[in-house]
Amino acid sequence: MIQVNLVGNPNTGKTTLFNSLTHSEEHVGNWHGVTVEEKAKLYKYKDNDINIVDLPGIYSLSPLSYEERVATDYIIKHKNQIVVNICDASNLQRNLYLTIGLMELGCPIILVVNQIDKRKICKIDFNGLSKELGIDIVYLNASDKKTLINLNNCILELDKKLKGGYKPEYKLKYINVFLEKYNNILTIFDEKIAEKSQNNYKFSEFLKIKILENDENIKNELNIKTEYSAIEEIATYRYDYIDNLMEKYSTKKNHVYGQSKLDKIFLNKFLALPIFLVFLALSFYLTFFSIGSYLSDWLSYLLDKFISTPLLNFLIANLGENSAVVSLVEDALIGGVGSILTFLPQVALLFFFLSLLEDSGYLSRVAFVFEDVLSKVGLSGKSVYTLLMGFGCSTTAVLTARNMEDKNSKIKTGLLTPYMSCSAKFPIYAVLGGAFFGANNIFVIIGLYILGVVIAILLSYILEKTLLKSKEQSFILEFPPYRMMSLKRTSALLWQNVKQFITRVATLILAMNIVVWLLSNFTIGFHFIGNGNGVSILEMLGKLLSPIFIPLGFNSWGLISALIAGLVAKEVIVSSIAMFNGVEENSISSIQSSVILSTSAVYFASKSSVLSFLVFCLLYFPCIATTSVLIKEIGKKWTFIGVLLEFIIAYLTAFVIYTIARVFEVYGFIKTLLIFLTILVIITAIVYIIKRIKKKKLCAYSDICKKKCKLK
Amino acid sequence: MQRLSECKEQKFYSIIKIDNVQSEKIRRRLYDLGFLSGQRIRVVYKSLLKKAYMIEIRGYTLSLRNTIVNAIMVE
Repeated sequence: MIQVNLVGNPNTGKTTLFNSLTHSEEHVGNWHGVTVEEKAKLYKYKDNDINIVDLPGIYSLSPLSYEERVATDYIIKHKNQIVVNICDASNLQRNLYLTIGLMELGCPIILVVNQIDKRKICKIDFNGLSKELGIDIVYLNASDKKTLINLNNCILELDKKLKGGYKPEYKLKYINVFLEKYNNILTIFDEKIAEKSQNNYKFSEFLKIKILENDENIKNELNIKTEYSAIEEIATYRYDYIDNLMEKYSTKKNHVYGQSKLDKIFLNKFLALPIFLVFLALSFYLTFFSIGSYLSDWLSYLLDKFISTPLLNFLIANLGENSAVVSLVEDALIGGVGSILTFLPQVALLFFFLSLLEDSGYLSRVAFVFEDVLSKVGLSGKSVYTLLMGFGCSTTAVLTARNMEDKNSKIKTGLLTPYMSCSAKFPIYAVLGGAFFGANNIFVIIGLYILGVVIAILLSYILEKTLLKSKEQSFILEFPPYRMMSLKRTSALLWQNVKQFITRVATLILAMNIVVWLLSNFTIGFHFIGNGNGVSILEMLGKLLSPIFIPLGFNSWGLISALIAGLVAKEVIVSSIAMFNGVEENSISSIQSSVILSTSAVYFASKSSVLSFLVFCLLYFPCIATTSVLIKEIGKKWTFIGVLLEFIIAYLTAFVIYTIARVFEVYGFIKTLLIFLTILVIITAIVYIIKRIKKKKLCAYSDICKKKCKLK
Repeated sequence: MQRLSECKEQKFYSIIKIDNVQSEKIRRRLYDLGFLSGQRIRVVYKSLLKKAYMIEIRGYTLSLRNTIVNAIMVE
């Protein structure tokens, strides 16, 4: 088996190449740091097994964030394996810096120059460059499978040479000059270095460079405490070498990577934010209300007509109406799973729009715009990526928090992600909100999305001031060029999302529905209830817990049971409700009408209780999958704190919203407004009086500098 | 000599040195990205509240936080 590691700068197309080589569908995007952990896959070429590892993008062998550390450690540990170093043709100069680093390490390298953008920006003499570096260069387009043959042949050839005892020798003249200069300082570490490098001369040179570069990880491993500051010097050597290469082998170019005239509009100080909000609003509208909901209705009609009804008729005809099988199929399968399946078009569209944001290169600009706000609450513009992915699925979004540079910001970003309204929460909003608010539901849904974001930002602010103070982040983020999405890529993306959703519904949701069905149809003595009397296990449990929820305005046992089932996956809340209320068709409107019928197991006393329930659903718990990822990413302690916080925040917010809404409902609009105005006036008056008492003492220079700093 | 954060947008300057940044790791990263003395550099855009800067260097574009831009001395 041939081991190959894919290494390169962020956003140069490593994962695209990985997908093309192995025929996989790993997530790619036009953003810095989509891949956050190593992924390996085996593929066959000319009867050879090649195991290729896709690593997170790095700029050099000195890591800054967690995911870079993963990559760097992996490369150094497996330095004798073949490295496929992928570079973006339009940013070759900067990309070569990493190549030089890999050459210093002495890896067997194949340099892949990836032509992502169609138009060629500069001409490069690859033959000359290849000879000078002593590295094979393959020029290709990573998304075009036809161009991969050269690379595969190159890998086989290099592997053959390595097995024949070939050791790569690179002529980097500056290494000798540099190490010679610091030789007398380094001699004291000779023993340690020799032990670590096991007399591998090349590796000992690499270690020396790393020591002079003040690399904490290497210094820790070698137990060296001295501080060095030759970092700029070595970087200058490397860049001088690259400049020299570029002068010799490439034509001059005036184009700047990542700049576009579009930025004049998208990064305009005053237009940037409104443009983004319009984009977001439009994609949500298309997804949830216009095209999405139209497709959903259509799908539910088709499912009902061609699958549910014939199936049910068939079963009733053969087994009779009261059999457990009929009940299982009717409630768990058709009512439960069917009700979620109808959301397929909407979920697929939502993920599609998120990918569009990511692929177009616009996301980096969004991060730039949000840096202003997010840096104030101790996050970074980069958190935008994680939070936006959270609208899709928090489980995968939490992983992207690895982009963050310091640990506290990573923990914080991870903790905040579940507050985003993920795609699994949307069915709840659509079904319950739709039943009670009708056409006004659009405002309820928008409100819920905003509520999640606002709470996340407030929480981040509080955490920043108390438990999780972040060190200052650098917000080093490269701007990728804008790219159009190809039709091929668009359809592939949509298909992938559809597949993922169906798999989720067919496995997790189905299993959960069967569990809920069992618990709600059997008594504690495992006696099937059917249409007869008896109290199911779930009903008992729901009734036991329901007093806790009285202050929130909902306490029917069905709702509480649905919340419990929803711990596994939020969609199950909707399917459980459908099941408890005995909804036979899988259309959204039939579930909606069932919740209004107050005789069912799931009912709401008023509109304010619906609102309170929706808010509770939004906030109360990240699903089990997210929790387990959180434990891996931020540790047990913080996950526990995070989950506990969520329960508390959910409870309090739902309570406040219920109370306010209830007051509106009972007293009418005008009276309530008066009540709240009075309260507001009283509070302002109190705050004002307190401020007057604690009158600011200004600093002595306040007249001159005009900044009103408080005297400490 | 002035700080890059005080420079005009769209105008090219030349780096003199990198002043105090919050950590050695970030200083190294800046060098790795090509922020070396004598290098031509330009602020392309500043964000509304001047927390983020879009910087052009060595033929590519990246964003930096104001604290770092503040540490880059140019002329």
